[in-house]
Amino acid sequence: MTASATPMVAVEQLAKHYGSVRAVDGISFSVAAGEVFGLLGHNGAGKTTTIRMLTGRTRPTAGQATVAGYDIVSERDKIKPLINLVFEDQNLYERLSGRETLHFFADLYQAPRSRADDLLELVGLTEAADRKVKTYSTGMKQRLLVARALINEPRVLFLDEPTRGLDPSSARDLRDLVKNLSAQGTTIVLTTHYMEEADELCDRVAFLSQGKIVALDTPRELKLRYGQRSATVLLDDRSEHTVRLDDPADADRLAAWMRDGRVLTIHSQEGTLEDVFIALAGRPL
Amino acid sequence: MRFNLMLPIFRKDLRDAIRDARVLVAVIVPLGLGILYGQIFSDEAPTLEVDIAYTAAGQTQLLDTLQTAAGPAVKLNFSAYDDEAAVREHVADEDADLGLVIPAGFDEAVAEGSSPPLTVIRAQTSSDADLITAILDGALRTMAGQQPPATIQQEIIDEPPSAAQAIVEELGLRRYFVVAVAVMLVAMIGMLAVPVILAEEAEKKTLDALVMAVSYSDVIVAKALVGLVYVVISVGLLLGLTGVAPEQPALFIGALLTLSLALIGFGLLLGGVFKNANQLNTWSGFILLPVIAPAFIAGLPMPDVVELLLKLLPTSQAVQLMINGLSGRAYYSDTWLGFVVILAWTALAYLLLLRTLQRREA
Repeated sequence: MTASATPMVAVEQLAKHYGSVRAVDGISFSVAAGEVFGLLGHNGAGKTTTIRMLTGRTRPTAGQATVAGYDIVSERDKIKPLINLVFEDQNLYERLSGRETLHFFADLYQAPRSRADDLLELVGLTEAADRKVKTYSTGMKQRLLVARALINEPRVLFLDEPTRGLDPSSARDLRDLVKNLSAQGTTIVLTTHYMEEADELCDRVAFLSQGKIVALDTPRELKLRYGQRSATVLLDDRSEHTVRLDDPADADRLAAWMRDGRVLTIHSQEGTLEDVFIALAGRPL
Repeated sequence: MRFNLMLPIFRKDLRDAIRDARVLVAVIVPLGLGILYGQIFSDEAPTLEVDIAYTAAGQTQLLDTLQTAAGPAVKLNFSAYDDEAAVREHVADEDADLGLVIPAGFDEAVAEGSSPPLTVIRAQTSSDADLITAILDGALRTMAGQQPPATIQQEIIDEPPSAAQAIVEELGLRRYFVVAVAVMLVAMIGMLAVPVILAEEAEKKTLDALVMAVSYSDVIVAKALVGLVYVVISVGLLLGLTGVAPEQPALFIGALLTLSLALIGFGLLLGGVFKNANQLNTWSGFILLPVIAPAFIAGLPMPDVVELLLKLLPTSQAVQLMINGLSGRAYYSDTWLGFVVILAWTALAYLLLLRTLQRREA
C-alpha cells in the first residue's frame, strides 16, 4: 500500500528543539489510511519525540502536521478521540484489575464498557480479567496495553516499540493483530528496533538519524537500493562461500565454479533492512 | 475542562488512591491523633464532682439553689434516701461526701426567716464537705431573699492571661486540638496524599495515557476534587468521632474548604516538582512542618514579629476562622482578612500551577 492523496497523517517540516538540541529536525512524510508506517532509528534519533508531537503531548517548535485531517496544535482536542497509542513503557495502574483498567479508559473515551470484554477476549486476557495488573506477566501487560489502545477504536494507532520484551509467541500474536487492524482500515504508525518486524509489518518505513529522515520508502525498495545482493554457494568439497553479486571479482569466482561443475547448491539473498540501516547510519541498531 | 471526562478520573482515584499505603497513612494518622486528643482532653467535664446524700420531708428548692451557687465548675450529684439513718450510713461508708437532712416545710420556714434546722452530716476532714458547707450559707441567703452582706471585689495581682491563653481556656483543649488536627488533616491530604497520587501518575507514566484522552487541566481538576472529597470525609469523621460540632457551621466549613483549595493547589505543584512519589514521601516532613505548625501554636503567646508572620500564613488564618466557627464566638476579629489571606494563597497556588501546566504542554 502506498500513500494516497488524502493522508491520515501528514507531516511537513516538523521540528522539535530542546534548547540547542534538535530532537526532530524538519521531517516530512505522510501516511495513508490503512497503511502501516514504520519509524526506525537509533535511540535518540527522534522517533518517540515525533510520536509525542503527533499524539498531542508535545508542541512542535516548527512545522505543521495533521492527524485524521486535524492540526496537531490547534485542533488537538479533536484528534484525541480518533487516535491511541501503545506506549513503550508498560504504564498501567497496577492496583486495578485488567477489567477495571479497560472500564476506566472506556469511560474516559466515552466508549461502551462492553467493548472492554470484547477486547479482553481479543488479547486473550478474559480469564485474568479480574486479577490485579501487578500480578500480570510482561506479556500479559503488553496485551492489556494493546487492548487499552483499542478501546476507542482509533482511526490512527501509534505503537512505540510494541514487541519489546515479549516472548516470540506473544510478539507473533501482536504482529498478527497489527496486520488484522491494518486490513480493517486502521492506520498504524510504529517504531521498532526489530528490523525483521518492520520488514514484515510495514508498508513503508522512514529511517531517522539525528532528527532527520535519511531514507523513506517501501522495505523492498530500500533493500534493493541500499542492501547488498549476495548468494551463498555450497561447493562439492562441502565448503560454503558467500559471494557478493555486485562485486565483479566475486561474480567471476562464481562463474568459474559453475563452469567447473563444483556448485552443489546456490541460495540468493537480498539485502535486509539491517543492511540498509547500517548503510545509512554507519552502525547497527 | 470537561466534567464528563474528569468524572472517570475522579472516581478511579477516589477508590484507587486509598489502596496506596502512603495515602492511607496520610489520612489515618491525623484522624487517629484527633481521636486520641479527644479522649485525653475531655475538658467539657467539670473539674470537681461532689456526692451528696440527702433526705427531705417534702419539696425543697435547696438542692437546685445549691448547684446554682456552686457554679459550673462543681458538679453536685444528689442521692435521695428515706431517713436520716440511711444518709448517715452512706456518709460513714464514704459513699457520699456530705449528708443533708431537710425537715418538712423547710423552704417556707427559710422564707419566713424562722431559722429552721438543717443538719449537715460530714466526715471530720473533708475538703469537699468544707467547700459545700461554705457554699450552703450563700444558697440559704438566696432562698431567704437576703442580699449578700458585702460585695466581694477580687484583685488579681498576677499578669492576666493572654488573649490566646484565654481562648484555649475557654474553648477547652479538646475542641482546640480538634481544630488543629482538622488543619493537620487538610495539610496531610492536600500536601501529601494528593501530590503522591499525581507524582505516582507521572512516575509510572500513566499520566501520559490519561492525557491521550483528556487535557492536563482535566487531570489536575479531578485530582483536586479527590483531595477535597477526602478532606470533607475525614474531617466529618473527626468531628463525628470526637463529638465536636461547630456552632457556626458555615464559617467553619468555609474556612476548611478555602484552606483545602489552597493546600491542594500547592500539593499539586509539589506533585510536579518531585520525580517520584517515594521522594515526595521522604521530604514531606520538611514541607509539612511549617504548614502544620501554626495550627498547633495558635493558642500560645508569641512575640509580635511571629504573630505578624503568622497572620500572613493560610493555616494560621484558617485556624482562627475555624475556632470562631467552632465556638460560635468572635475570638478573632477580621474574619474577612482571614479569608482574603487564604484566598490570596489559593490564587497564587493555582496561578503557579497553570504556569507549570502550560510549560508541560509546551
